[in-house]
Amino acid sequence: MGVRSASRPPALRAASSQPTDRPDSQPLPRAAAARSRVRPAGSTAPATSGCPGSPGTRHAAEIRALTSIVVEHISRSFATPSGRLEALDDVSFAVAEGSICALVGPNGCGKSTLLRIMGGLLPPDRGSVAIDGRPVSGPDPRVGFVFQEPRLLPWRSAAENVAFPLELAGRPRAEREARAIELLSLLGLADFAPARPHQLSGGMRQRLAIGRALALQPTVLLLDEPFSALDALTRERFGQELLGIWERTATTIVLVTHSIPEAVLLAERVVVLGPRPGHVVAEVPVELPRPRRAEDLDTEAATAASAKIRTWLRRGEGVAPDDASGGAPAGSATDAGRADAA
Amino acid sequence: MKRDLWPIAVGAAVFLVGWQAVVVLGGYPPYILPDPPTVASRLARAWADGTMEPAALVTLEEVLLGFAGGGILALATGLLLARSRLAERLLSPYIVAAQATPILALAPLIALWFGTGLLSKVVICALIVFFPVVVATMVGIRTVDAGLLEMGRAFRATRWQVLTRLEVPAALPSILGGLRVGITLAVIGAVIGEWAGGDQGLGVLINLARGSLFDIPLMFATLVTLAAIGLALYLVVLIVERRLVGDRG
Repeated sequence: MGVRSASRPPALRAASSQPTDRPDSQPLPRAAAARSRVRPAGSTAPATSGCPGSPGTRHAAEIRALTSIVVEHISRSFATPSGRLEALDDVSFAVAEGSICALVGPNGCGKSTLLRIMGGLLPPDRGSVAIDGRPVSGPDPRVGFVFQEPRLLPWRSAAENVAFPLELAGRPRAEREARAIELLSLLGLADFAPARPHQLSGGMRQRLAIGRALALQPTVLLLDEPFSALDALTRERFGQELLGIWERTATTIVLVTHSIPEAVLLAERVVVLGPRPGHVVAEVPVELPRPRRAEDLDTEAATAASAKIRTWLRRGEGVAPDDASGGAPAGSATDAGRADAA
Repeated sequence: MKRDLWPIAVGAAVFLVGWQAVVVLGGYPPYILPDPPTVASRLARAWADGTMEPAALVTLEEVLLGFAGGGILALATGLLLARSRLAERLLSPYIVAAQATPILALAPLIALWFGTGLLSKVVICALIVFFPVVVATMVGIRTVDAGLLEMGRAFRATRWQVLTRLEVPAALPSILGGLRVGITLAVIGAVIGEWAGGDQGLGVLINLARGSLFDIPLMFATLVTLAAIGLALYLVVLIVERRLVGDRG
């Protein structure tokens, strides 16, 4: 963590001095320096290497070094007037360092609950979450959280909103202002520093929320359906922007989404959750080269991954009329998913 | 801004013309209902000969001190009640009961306890300001978007930071609404306090004008001064409100 975070600011500063206002332009060379230190040469497919359950070709210690987030046996229930509601049941998966992982699943399968547990906003009943080998217990400085709604402070400017976590952390004003400018230019919002949230579009507001999550240079960015409030066009562009931000900041990203195309376009690995109580049905790797563009969704690899995710989603819900043999029971679904992944 | 002012001017004109019409059509003598010019000239004279100014200053002082004291106390109490259900259960019966008891009935008691000087008026003003500000503060803090609070938690805000950076700013529109009600009530409180026991102030002047002096135009002039003070203070709160929360969109 010390080495990583120390190496970050210069990388980010260098990147943010580049023009950022054209999200569809050729993405900048990925923050390769930051990555190559932790990833052995020749590791071209991190998507298949992050899961401790899939031995693949890697040595266990090596896998651990590459793993940023480990979620182990997470269960969580809530008290409701009609008794206890099981939200999550024994959820385990891992996310490779510097990769993007998407959580997909039907409504009410506990995706958001899972994300909150991963960010330390909610304690699990059982199980644990570790980031870089150290457990998460409570809101964690290594995590930047982006909520479904931007949740900006309407009485503050864009710059003050983005720097809010720095203010809470007691950083001096000069540092906050400098960092705010840095983040706003990273997000292509440099001209809007003094604007109030209500003067910005929905997409800009959500970008500010991402900037705020990045303010303390977290190693992990957790996003809870960050696109759900945006219209279709903004959504598509936003996905590209998120990829751009990811490339420039070298964070590990976990993102909850409803949209299979979004998951495929963004993620290295898609964790498919089944309906309540939420459980891992499958982990589907997406083997598309980086950098990715919206057109890549039409490639064979992408459509194959989408089809796989859709099948697992249906099986998770117990709807598999086309393929009777594939009705994987909940207990063995995880294994099946892992076999699929490996 | 200029265009916003014409309805106010038209409203005032209609009011004054209507007043005049009532006096003329009803044939009321000045000791029942003086017409606007009579009141205006009496008002000018009272300010010129030094009848009004000291009384107005006394009342203004009572209002401002009472409003400040009651407001600050109410803010603190409102925060406490919003935070703690126990405090709410414990204190709210007394707060509501104090509000439900007519201040007119309490005023003589307060004058008895705190004397006939400035203090008793300030206490009465504070008492009358207290309730609306407590309720507004409590409701404001309770209705802060849970999402914002979770956001604060995600970025590890301390309890104090949550209060000062999130809850109070978010509740400010509501709190200022309570203060707007409070400031007008404070003017009433001051007059009631002066009536319950006192020898200076606009309330006292009203009594004098109506009673021993039997100068009804002076009484009206005093009422106008009182209304003007209330209006001016209300405007100040409104301007503060615009400043603090006007640009939230």
